[in-house]
Amino acid sequence: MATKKTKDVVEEVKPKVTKAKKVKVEEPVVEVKKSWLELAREQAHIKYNK
Amino acid sequence: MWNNISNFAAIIANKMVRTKLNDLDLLPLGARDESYDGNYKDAAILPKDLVAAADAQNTGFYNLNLGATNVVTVTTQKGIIDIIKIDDTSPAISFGSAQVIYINNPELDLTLANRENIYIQYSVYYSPGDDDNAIPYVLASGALTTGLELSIFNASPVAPIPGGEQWGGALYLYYELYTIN
Repeated sequence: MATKKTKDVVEEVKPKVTKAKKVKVEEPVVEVKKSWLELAREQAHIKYNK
Repeated sequence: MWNNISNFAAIIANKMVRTKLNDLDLLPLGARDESYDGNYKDAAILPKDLVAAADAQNTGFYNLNLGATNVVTVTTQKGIIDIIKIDDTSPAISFGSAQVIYINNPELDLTLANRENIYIQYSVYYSPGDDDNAIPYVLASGALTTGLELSIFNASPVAPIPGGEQWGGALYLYYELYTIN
């Protein structure tokens, strides 16, 4: 049986170029870390209004 | 023999100063009795009874309602403090936050500057209420003008039961507090 010759099909793959989206870079929030004791004293101060 | 303090010189000279007690040794005691001249009558007491009775006299009972204040003023060296009305969620679970309380004895210098002269010892009693998962952990954490500071944590990792009564149990703090200056 004769076989059909198939032509090699070479597709040129073009790379997809996507435009980079502008991402808003948020400034990192710097939290002032307080010790558990400072927080406890603050809470007590607020609660008992000393 | 106690009328004349110079007897101490004789006691010392005769090597009668004791370092140990026998079971039935007695200490002289002026027992309050207003029917006597001078309001005291001669009596004696066993040393072990003296120590136990004096300890009991130096122990008081106090209330601390955290719904109103976090300062308890004491007048005795030892005491039992009944603490009520801790907030359901503060102190938070798993040592997340602390409730500070202050034990103040106006006769003592409990300021931070005097920290090395302050002796504090305490223990905690807690019997949980219904639907109550709190486990108190208490740490001495400093001092303010309002007295010696203790921080109460909740050691339990279990969240309060909805509709339950976190910290609804009986919380007592037993303390011993004095200064050495």
